[in-house]
Amino acid sequence: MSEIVFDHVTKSFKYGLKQQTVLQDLCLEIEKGEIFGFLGPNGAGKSTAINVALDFIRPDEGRVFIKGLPGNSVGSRGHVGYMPEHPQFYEQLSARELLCFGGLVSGINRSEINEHIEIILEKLELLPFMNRPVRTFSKGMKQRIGMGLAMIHDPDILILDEPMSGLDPLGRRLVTRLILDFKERGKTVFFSSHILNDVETLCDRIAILDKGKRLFYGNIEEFCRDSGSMEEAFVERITNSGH
Amino acid sequence: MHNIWLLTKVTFKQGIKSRILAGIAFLSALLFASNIAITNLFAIEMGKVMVDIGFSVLSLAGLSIIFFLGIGLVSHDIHNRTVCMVISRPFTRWQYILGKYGGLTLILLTATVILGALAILSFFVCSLLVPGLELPRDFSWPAILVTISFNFLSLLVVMSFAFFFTIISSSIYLAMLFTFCTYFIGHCLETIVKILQGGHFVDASPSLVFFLKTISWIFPNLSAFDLKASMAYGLPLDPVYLGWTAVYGCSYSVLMMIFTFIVFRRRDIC
Repeated sequence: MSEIVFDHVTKSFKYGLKQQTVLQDLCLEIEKGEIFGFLGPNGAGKSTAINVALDFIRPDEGRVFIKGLPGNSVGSRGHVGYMPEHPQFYEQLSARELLCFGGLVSGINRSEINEHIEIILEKLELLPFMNRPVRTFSKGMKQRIGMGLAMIHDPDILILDEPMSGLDPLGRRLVTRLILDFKERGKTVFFSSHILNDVETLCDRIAILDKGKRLFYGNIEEFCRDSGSMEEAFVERITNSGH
Repeated sequence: MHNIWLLTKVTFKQGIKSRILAGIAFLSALLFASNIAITNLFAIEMGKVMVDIGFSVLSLAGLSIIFFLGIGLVSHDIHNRTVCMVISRPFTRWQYILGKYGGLTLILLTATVILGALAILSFFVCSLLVPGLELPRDFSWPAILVTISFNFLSLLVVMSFAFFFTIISSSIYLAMLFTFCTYFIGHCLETIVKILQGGHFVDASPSLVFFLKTISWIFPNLSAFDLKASMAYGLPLDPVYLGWTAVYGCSYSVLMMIFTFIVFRRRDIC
């Protein structure tokens, strides 16, 4: 059983009188224990696909399954840790309070939550800032707290939308290390990005999306076979699709 | 229930730590203190003036909390997508609605208790310091607590509308406008309908009266919760009337929460 399944997902939005199709018959299967990269230019529909998977928006057609459960069921979300592209928080709360809320809601016992928080904050190099309100954090620190919220309950699946966005090189290295550590423990990572270096470093398989259509789905070697580099293969694929 | 309580606590913490609440509390304290000076400007009905000013400040503070803090917190969640942080977890949408409304209720209750205490203090100080101020013969201090409670209940009803409008509208300002209109209509409509139906002062068309009566079935009758006059003049408060008014207020809030959930359940939140 695949960890995440997109089964013929289609989604359109209305802009005034016009209707724009953002996802067209998307089919993907993400297997257990792999790091799956979801690539595409800006506006390709990557974030929309993730939002459909997490039931933030409802597809016009098709369904998403997470560990065999419908994506719109509450049970499926207990297996998932999610980080949006621009994490937004209750900024009056401290990092500790925020992670406490995220962990308790995700099912961690009250007796264990403090230990979980300290472990996560140490991994994120935010332990000294534990009791500071999140509104005082820099962009990079907020991105790391977003990662912490995704990981606090040690989910089986991480869904990350542009996880390296806004991070300095040290922050990027930290997130890379966390993702690889997650994989080593047999967990699954599904992340979207338009930074090809990150995808090349981390991913086992990828899918390329452009204007809602899936252009490629497979492993990186297969993708780069006919081109010199991943970047060339990506540009060629997008250009040939009529972008 | 556990999840609802967690979100209630988080919403409450957000509100209490907010500078908006501190500003409203400070301004209200100033206005309560000025009750003494304002009451002194009147030669008659000073007891009524004192009570009117005190409860007007209480209502103003409560409405400010709803408009600037309540609508602000929910709007921030929806439009900045902070709600995604909650809904991405094992958290249903109805739990989110109840948790958020519970937190806002707790903020309003805390503010009402503190501001109510300040109001009572201002009445007490006025009764001591304002020369010539005589309380009505049947004035009772416990009746102030009942009046404050019903003021709180009316604010809960307004807040349920504010919550609903924030969820359905794309703009925080539209939500504020609709909520203000609801408050205004709720307080004025009963009086207007009675005047028009009486026909003594205005000759209104039956269709207009019918339209206004229909509107009065939709919008809450907030004037029913206003016990200031009874309290100020020491008039007896009918327990049966109070009981049914409380049921009316709670039912309205529950109904608005149901409508809010129905809309929120279908809404794309990102």
